[in-house]
Amino acid sequence: MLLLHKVIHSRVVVFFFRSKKKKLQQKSNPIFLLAFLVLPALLCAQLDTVLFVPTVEVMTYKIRSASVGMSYTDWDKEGIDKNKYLSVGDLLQRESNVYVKSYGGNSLATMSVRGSSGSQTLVLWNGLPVQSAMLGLLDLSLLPLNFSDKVSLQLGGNSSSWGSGAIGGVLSLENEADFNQKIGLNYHSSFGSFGNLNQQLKLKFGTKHFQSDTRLIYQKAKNDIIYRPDPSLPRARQNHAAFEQAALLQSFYVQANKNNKIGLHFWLQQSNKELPATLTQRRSEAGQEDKFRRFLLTYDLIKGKKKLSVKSGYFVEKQKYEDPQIGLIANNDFSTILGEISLALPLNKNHALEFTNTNSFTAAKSKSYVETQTLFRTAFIGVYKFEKNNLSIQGSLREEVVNGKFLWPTAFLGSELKLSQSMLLKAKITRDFRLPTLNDLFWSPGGNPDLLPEQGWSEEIGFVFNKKIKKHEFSWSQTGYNRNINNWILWAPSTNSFYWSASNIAKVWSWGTESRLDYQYETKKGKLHYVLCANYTSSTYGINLDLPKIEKGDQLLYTPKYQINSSIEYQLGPLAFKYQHLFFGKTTGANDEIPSYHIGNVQMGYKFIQNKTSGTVFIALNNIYNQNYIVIERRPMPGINYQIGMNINFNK
Amino acid sequence: MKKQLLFIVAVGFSFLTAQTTATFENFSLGTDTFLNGSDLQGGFSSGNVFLNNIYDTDFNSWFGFSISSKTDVTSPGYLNEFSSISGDGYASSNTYAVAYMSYLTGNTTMSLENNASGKAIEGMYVNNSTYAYLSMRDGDGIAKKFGGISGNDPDFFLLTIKKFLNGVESPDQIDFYLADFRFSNNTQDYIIDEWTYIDLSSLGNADSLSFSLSSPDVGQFGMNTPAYFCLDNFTTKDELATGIRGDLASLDLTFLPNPVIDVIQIRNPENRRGLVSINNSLGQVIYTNALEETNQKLDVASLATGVYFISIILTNGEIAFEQFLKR
Repeated sequence: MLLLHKVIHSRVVVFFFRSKKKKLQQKSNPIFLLAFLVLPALLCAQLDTVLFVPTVEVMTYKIRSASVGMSYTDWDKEGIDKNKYLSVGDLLQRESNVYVKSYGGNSLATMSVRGSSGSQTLVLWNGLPVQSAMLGLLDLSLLPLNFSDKVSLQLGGNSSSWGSGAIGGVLSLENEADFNQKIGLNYHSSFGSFGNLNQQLKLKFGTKHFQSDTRLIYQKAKNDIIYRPDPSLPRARQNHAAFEQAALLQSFYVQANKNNKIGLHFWLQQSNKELPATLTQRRSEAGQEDKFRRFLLTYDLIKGKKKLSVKSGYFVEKQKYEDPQIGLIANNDFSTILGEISLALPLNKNHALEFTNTNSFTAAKSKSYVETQTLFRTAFIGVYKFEKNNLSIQGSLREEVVNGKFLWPTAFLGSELKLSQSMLLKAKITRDFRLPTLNDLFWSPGGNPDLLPEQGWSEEIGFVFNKKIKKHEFSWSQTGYNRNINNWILWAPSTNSFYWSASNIAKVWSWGTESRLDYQYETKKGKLHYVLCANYTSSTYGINLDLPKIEKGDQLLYTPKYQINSSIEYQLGPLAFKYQHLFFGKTTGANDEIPSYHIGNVQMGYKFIQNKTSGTVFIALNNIYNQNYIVIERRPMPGINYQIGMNINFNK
Repeated sequence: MKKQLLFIVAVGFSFLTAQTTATFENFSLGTDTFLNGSDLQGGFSSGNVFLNNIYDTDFNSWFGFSISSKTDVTSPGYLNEFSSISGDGYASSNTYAVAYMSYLTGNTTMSLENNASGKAIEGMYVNNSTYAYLSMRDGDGIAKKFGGISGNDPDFFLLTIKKFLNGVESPDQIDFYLADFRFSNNTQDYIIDEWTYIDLSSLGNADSLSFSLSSPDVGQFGMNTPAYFCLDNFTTKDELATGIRGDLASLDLTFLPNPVIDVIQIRNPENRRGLVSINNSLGQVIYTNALEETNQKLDVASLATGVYFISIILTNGEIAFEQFLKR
């Protein structure tokens, strides 16, 4: 597999290839067309009604996860193999059009999707949420990409299907078995600048009825990056930034027959980070240890067109922050038990229903909580999907109960309409929410047990255009969105106390556009692929506050208005080359303005195959223009750096 | 003339006492401990001053003033919020006060008590807290090291002291730099690390003081520099500030009529603030009120016929008086 960071199939590409395989209706139904064009305008005024879409897929078991009307990008095994030395955070920063807020190499990384906060993008592991119940965040720098077989990023809200936090988007990490595999061995080794070492082993073996999948990762880095702290100053080297991680993922899959599947996953991981000083700090001795154990049991029963899915998870996480300089040790521990049962009922070839009940119980303890805090959530989700000719419609409704209190129902309505073989229109409207985190509720001082969930409506409309002329393939997708979130949680001085406390005091209005162009040219000898993604994001406060200092219309912190991601890759026989150029517009931090910056990355690879063994060797040069830049204020990012490595695969 | 001298002497004696210094040693703290207001008394008395404290029982936290004998001069961070950077009080004393500004009001206050109330102040010693000092010197996760990345940022940590008299804030203030990095020659940059005297006598008479801190390291969440300083040996004069100017006209004030039958009218076109008093010929105060209007009337109809003195004490300590006849 060549080391090509091919941005994997967006909806655009998927649609394009499907269009070749299926006989699709050539003529659009004018009634559906009219409905598609007129209804969105009506629906903007009447938010609890509908929007519409097309039918490109045959009715499958994917009903809740069908994501009709949504934009998404996913990375399959091939895409992951090419990037396996990266974390999920690194991958998203390079290959998607979301904004990743990174504190530096191997440091905390969260993402902002369409101007959302870091806790407003839900992260799922095999369908169950894995974000910290205490912080509402997941550190993407701690997620090894190679522990997933598929990574999918849905852009835009979908809380009614997936729950709290799915306001900006949904990031899904999935594992799946290949029951045709007898034995598979993959070894990855790479090293690079700043003491970076990455060792990975993946071992699969089994039969058509049983599969074992073992993955091990060990990686470390000194992260003693070289940077220029100020244009007038010589370059400096960062210290106290070392990172070390060891992780094991063991999966067992049992398939008695094609109608019964059991999956058992056990994910054990420990990461230790030294937390470096900021640019305006002389030294730091702080460090953080993150440990978790995640158990997951899944069962799928298929009868005819019906499918029953059961999932049960038990997640235990421990985080220890230590700063010997100030004598601070903070332990934050939580555990969550999750259970989900889902029944998919295709009624006929046009109509399908899916009903899901999901439950979770979280217990968390911290010195900053007066006592162990618990959170019990249960939700009922109903999804309806309609497909006929060129139209697909998906609607869902969710009712959630949190510690005995009923929340306002959330809803989703998406539609896709295929106007021609080249043109797909899509639209959706959703009501989304995010529950306050346990820290928001119970942190002492300042936690507010009376907080309401953040919630609001979002609307989205777009099109996908594809064209293939001989060996030239072209696609263009364009999406516009609008989102209003009320009860946005901010920590601010309280009128009733002299402490900062969490309150539902803000409103945030986000709107913007996302563009993506793909061009491919393929010959017998080689393949050229060019991708250009451009985003405009406006995400502004709707209130004035003295503290924190906010004026109505201010852009959210760390939310660039402009973002461009482009890449060109060329594959010639066993050789591959890719150049990637990233541009991020200026943003604002809590203290300073953060200038815009350009980053250039280059990857080159060579692929070899011998019998049942294949492999690649690669070299990656990052930040080739040696730009001094920061993503988070006062946190330096590395200058030019490299990564050299190899992958060896043995399959039988 | 004899009666005027008698009045001046009477006024002088009525205010004249010895200086008093609040050393905070009266709390008899052992070494390396503190009082943070958890007794909910609302503050601490020492000498002739009362240091205000607000304590939150929900969060076991405070702002205003605390009393400390902490000695840690090396540990950075908020867990070491009670130590002075010298590790002791003024002149190696055991106990001192620590001030922490509220983000709500931006300042903290002190009241003058007993014989110091409404009278002049001598001065006090201040020092940086260890928390603020090390944060300014080294930076921390929130606040920048002073001078910034290049060392050239014109940072400062400014203590501003304002006074109140009769509830009126004076426009006069005293500024003192606990750290100053505004020099073009960076070798002159400094952060105070020893007890340093501030002369407060120019404030004149006061019944309370407010203290506020500021620095240019301000972000969306307010000032990043830890808003702490330490204070010791606060000395009150316990007498009115000198500054007798003569008749009321010397203070741009006039009164009429003279002789008076029932009402005295004080014209105060500059809208000055202070205290107006009437003394009898024996120097006894028989009337006192705030001077707070541009055209203030005093009802003297009930006074017995005779000679009286009307005196004005402005908030800056200036005094004027005149004799009048009541018919």
